[in-house]
Formats: sequence, C-alpha cells, structure tokens
Amino acid sequence: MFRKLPRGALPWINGLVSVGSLLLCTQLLLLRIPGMTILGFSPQWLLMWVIAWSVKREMIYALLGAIAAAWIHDSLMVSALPSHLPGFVLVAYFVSRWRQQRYLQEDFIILALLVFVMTLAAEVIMAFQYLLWGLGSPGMLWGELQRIGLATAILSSLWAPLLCTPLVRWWDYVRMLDRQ
Amino acid sequence: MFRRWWQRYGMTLIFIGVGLSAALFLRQTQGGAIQEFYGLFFRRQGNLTAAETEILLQNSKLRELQNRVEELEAQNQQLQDLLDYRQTLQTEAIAAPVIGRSADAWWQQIIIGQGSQAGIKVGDTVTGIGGLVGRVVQVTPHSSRVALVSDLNQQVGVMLSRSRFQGYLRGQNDPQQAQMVFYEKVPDVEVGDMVTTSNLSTLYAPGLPIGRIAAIDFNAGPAPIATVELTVPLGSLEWVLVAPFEPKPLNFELQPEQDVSQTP
Repeated sequence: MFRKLPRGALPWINGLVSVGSLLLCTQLLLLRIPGMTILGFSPQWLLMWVIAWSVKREMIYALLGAIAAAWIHDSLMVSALPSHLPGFVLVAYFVSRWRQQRYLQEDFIILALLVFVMTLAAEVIMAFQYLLWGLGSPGMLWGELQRIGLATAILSSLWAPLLCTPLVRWWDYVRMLDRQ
Repeated sequence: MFRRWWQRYGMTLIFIGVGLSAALFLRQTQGGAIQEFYGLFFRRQGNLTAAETEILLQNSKLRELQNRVEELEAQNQQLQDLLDYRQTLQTEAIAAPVIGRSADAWWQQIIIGQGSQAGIKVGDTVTGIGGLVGRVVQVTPHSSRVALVSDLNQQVGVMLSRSRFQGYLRGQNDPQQAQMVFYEKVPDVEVGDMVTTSNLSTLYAPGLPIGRIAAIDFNAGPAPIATVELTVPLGSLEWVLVAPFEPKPLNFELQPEQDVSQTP
C-alpha cells in the first residue's frame, strides 16, 4: 500500500515515524504495566530505539540519533549525571559498524540477541559511571549490575521483536525507496 | 558549488540541527514537556473523594502513630529548647496518585499526578504510609518528579529517636533498605532503633519517621554504618501526601570561642 505514496510525502512520513516512535519509547519508559516487568525492572525502551535506528545506518547518523536519545533519557532522570550518553553512543557505534561487516542478518532472533548484548554493555558502562562518581561501593554496584543488567537485558531482548523489528523493517523500506 | 552542496545536504543538516537542539532543549529543561504530556495522558480520572482522603490519612496516621509515640517520649525527656519541633506536620498536605515510576533502574524516583496547579513546589516533602518518601525535584502543571530517599544520589540527615545520635541516610538503590552512616565513632545504637529525620536537616522537617535499624556494622570506617529497613513500601506506593516545606537557610553562626573579631 505504501508503493502508491507520492514521492514528496515519504520524508515527512519517515520523520513522523522516527519522532513518533521515539516519543512512544519515552512514554513507555515511565510506565509499569503488570507483566511487563521482571523484579520491578522494565525494558530499556530508548536503548532499543537506538539499536533499531543504528542498524544498517551510516555511522554519523547513528551517533547523532544516539546522542539525541541519550539527552532525552537524561532529561527524565532526577539528576542528569551520571549520563546515558557514553553507553548509548558506544552501542550506536558498535551496531552501525557491525552492519558494515555484514554480521547482521534481517533475522529477529539475531536482533534480539544484539539487543541483549548491547543492553548488558550499556548497563556495565552505567555501573562504571556510578563507580567513577563515587556514588556507591564496588561491591554494592557489582550486585546491582548483576540484578539490573540481567533483568533489563532479558526483558529488552524479549520486547525487541515488537519494537525493533518493525522499525528496522520500516527504515529498510525507506532506504529501498530512496535508492529507486 | 555551494548551491549544489546545499541542495544535496541542506535539508539533512537542518533536520539534524532541529533534532539535536530539540533533544538538548529537553535535557536542559529536565524533560518537563515529556513528563507533562505523560501526566496528562495517564492521569487518574477524578480526584480523591473526601472519604478516600480521610481513609488514606487515617491509615498513614495509624502506622506512624506508634513510631511517633516513641519519638515524642524521647523528645519530652530532652531538657533543651525544642522549638524546631513545633512546626512539624501542622501544614495541610496534598494527596497525589503515583502515575509513573523511574525511567531507569539505576535511579529511584516516581512521578506523581499533581503539579504546580495543585500548589506543589520544588523542595516539598513527600510522605507515604509509614513515613518519609522523598522530596519533589521538578514540577510541571499536572505532574511532579519525586526523588526517593532510596536513590543513590540522595542523602538525608537522620538521627536515632532513642539516643539522639546523628548521622546521614544514604540510598542504596534498594526500595526496602538504606544505609545510615554515623558521625560519631561509638554511637549508642541497637537493632530495632527508630530512625527519623534529624532536627539539623535543612531539606526536611525534623521528626519524620523513616525506618528501623536492621543491622549494624561497627567495623566500617571511618564511622559505624547501620542498615535501615525503610518503613514505607517504596516499591509499591500508590498514593502519597505532599507537604509544603521551606528549606531552612544554612546558618553558620560562629561560636563565641570561634569569634575572633570580639576578642580584645
């Protein structure tokens, strides 16, 4: 049905989908629905958006998207520091680099695995920041990292097919139309 | 040359500029727009009826009462001027529903469904059934963001209501427990002691119940550290009470022996 779109409308629809999905993720972050949580933790919706955004995208755009998402995430916290920026940027960097090496197939299982590993990586960076800012003892942070990291990584990878796969498909489709 | 370059990359550049500045704006304004949108979207319908407010207040009163009796007994034994205590809990509280939780597991915060239109200000004290919950750090017209006492960034001046020993409470990112760090090397503390906000605290009214001592580590350096079991179920809060609080100015008045200007 999208094939009949007038050409000029595509960038606008694409922008609407991108910004709309980003805003949806920010709303989901604050929400806790029974059945959506493990141990009271919820998925890392914004990180999932960054991963979907970075897949098969040029490095510079992936990084800029990650920076914007990180700023939005920071804005929702009690304190803007420690920041989400380092974790998000690193994740965007790795995901967009992997695309160039063609490790990533269009398989949603691979995508779920990718989300799992990347969420763990982002949580490790967050724990390191807490350590650097001196907000907790190493032992306590290690315990928290195990709890938070595992729970959010599992949850995020479970929800990835619902959020990431449609977004990746959509941006694939946009790229295909652009190439024509 | 430039025109062709602009035709090719101009729109992209503009989009990037607009996108990044929007994100930066959100960051600098602490995401007020997003939170307000969320607050309007997920607002619980209607306010509390008078009867519900009554029950809520009575429940929290009952639980707090036995803690408070202990607190008052200790206070009465003091032969000092307790002027500070008179202004506790006389003010009218605003009941607010909890509409959102922390956006990240590394922070302990909640979003409540009342904002500046209900008269909430930054710095107001938030209490729940059982005692202190936290303080308001950001306000939009219909929602407010509350930093819980269990947040890793939060530190609250506290004391033991039995022996009056002072310390500060350090959040452990755990909704059930926090750590109390004493100022003195050998404090008089026992398991089961009641912990309340300190009369020296500048951010909270004195005497608000927080929790009970669950374990003590006397070997911790530089001073003993106690594990405090929080009396408020921070993980499953549904309604909270917001009480206005004017932060006390820090008053560093010199002791007579420190005041060198007076000495002849």
